[in-house]
Amino acid sequence: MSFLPTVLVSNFIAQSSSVDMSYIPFLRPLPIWNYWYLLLFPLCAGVAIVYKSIKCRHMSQVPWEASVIALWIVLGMSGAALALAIVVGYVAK
Amino acid sequence: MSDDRRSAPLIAPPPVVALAGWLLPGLGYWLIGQRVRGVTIGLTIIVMYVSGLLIAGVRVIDVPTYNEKGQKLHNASLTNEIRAKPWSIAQVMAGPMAVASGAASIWAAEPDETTGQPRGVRTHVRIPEIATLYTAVAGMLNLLAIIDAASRAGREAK
Repeated sequence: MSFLPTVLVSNFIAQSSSVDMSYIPFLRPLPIWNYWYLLLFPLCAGVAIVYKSIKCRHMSQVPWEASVIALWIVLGMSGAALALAIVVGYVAK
Repeated sequence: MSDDRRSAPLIAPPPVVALAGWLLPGLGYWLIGQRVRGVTIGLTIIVMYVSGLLIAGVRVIDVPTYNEKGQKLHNASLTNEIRAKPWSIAQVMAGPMAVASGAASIWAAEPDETTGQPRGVRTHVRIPEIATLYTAVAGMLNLLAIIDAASRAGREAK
């Protein structure tokens, strides 16, 4: 399953071999091609913090409530990814 | 953290709270006296938006009516352009920092005078998709915060 992203990334690097791809903040992307999914965790945390800050009556409830909902978002996305991987694997057979 | 509902010296009207919330994420809550809530929401939204720009560069901001080379499309219809780049609506909800990063995106798309290459790189792999998600989600969360702060201001005024 990790074959396709690796091919895409290597094609991308081959096509852009003439371009210097070293990281420059705000101008060039972070070179984390194979670990992009790790970026979803801070996004989930941010969504959970803002959502619970809006929803909770008292701000003292936010840290716990946000942690719980962040965990649920991650579990939900992992479950959806697993289900999709099974469906794709089944269709590809 | 204790209860952050403090009595504001002056209750700002809901449209002012909404505008303040757009100008600086979290400022709407600050104006109605809910400072801890305002700082928490504002900082989270700003960090999320700036993280998106740091992850893939300012060129993740797609400015309607501008092409990939940073040139103005004079004959382009704004509605068609927004339909082609719907995430730009979500991004602009993050406030003036979205407008500023849009201007920076146009600047970064223009070719550099010495190399002839665009100043900022735009890739078509997953990283910019995630970065677009960061900026668009930050904008949508700010819209949610604007609506909530204005609604609370309306309730406080009654």
